[in-house]
Amino acid sequence: MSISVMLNGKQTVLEKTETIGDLLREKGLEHNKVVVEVNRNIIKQHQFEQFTIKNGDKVEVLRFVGGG
Amino acid sequence: MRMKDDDLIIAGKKIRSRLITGSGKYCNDRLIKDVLDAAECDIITVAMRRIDFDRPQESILNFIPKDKTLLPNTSGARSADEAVRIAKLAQAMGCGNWIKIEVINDQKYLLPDNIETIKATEVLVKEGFVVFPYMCPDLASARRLVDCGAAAVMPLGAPIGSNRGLQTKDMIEIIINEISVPVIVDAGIGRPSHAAAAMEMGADAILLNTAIAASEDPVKMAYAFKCAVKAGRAAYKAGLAGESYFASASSPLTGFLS
Repeated sequence: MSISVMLNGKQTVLEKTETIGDLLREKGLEHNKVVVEVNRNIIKQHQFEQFTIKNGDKVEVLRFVGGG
Repeated sequence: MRMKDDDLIIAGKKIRSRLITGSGKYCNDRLIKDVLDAAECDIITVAMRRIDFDRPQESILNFIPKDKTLLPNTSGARSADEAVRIAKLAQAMGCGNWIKIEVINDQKYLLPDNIETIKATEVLVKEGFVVFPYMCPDLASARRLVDCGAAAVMPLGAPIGSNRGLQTKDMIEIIINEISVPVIVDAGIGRPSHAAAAMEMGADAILLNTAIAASEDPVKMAYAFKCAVKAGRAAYKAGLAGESYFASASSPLTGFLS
């Protein structure tokens, strides 16, 4: 069953229920180079494979970029 | 020449280089390692942003040698609460607990909001962060930041990216003279001579980004800034000779031609 989430500020449909680990793999992102927040709670890297994204969640995936 | 016993100590950590650089605005991030080598920097700043899934880019961490200390900033924050949120996200990256507080509401001059910066500093110090607040050079605010436990204060020389140098020189000098924690001049330093002037005045370090990243040859410019910061520091330690309005002869004025 597909779910709808707010992913980095954009309404996004995920084809099936998935974990943060699944999402990062789909996007080709390394676990240790991103930080993830779900509904304003930071999800620790070691929880990525267990944490399931739910319908309506607000998911932020961030990383370091160049800055002064 | 390296001066003995002149390391900068922040939060118990010995920092060999008094030049801190940013990692933004490079036309090619592959330059960053060579810039850090030429500048002999120990500390580099980074920012935190959402990943753009439509335009994936290589992580900035891939371009920063592992032995460098990361100083993430809270750029994008408009309030203390947002700065605290970004700081916690940065910490969750697992790259340490140092944070540059940057709270900006003003989009024209990008001048920091000292009041929100003080609030964020107070919260983050209590949570164990080593806090480097970027601030408008105001002594009362600097004192409050020190009272809150800031590891350093970082007054601006001129607006971010303006390259206009030490427009706030007198105010920074007051902070240097009155504040016990390291004073790092951050923003506005556009030329090596600006950096040297700040260091001659007694600043503990310089933080700059645009002046190197937007120069024609960032690696050569990094070297120039390294030399300038060292020269300015050496001059400060040597004690500058006094100034006077009138001339004072350098050669003996013996009177055989009289």
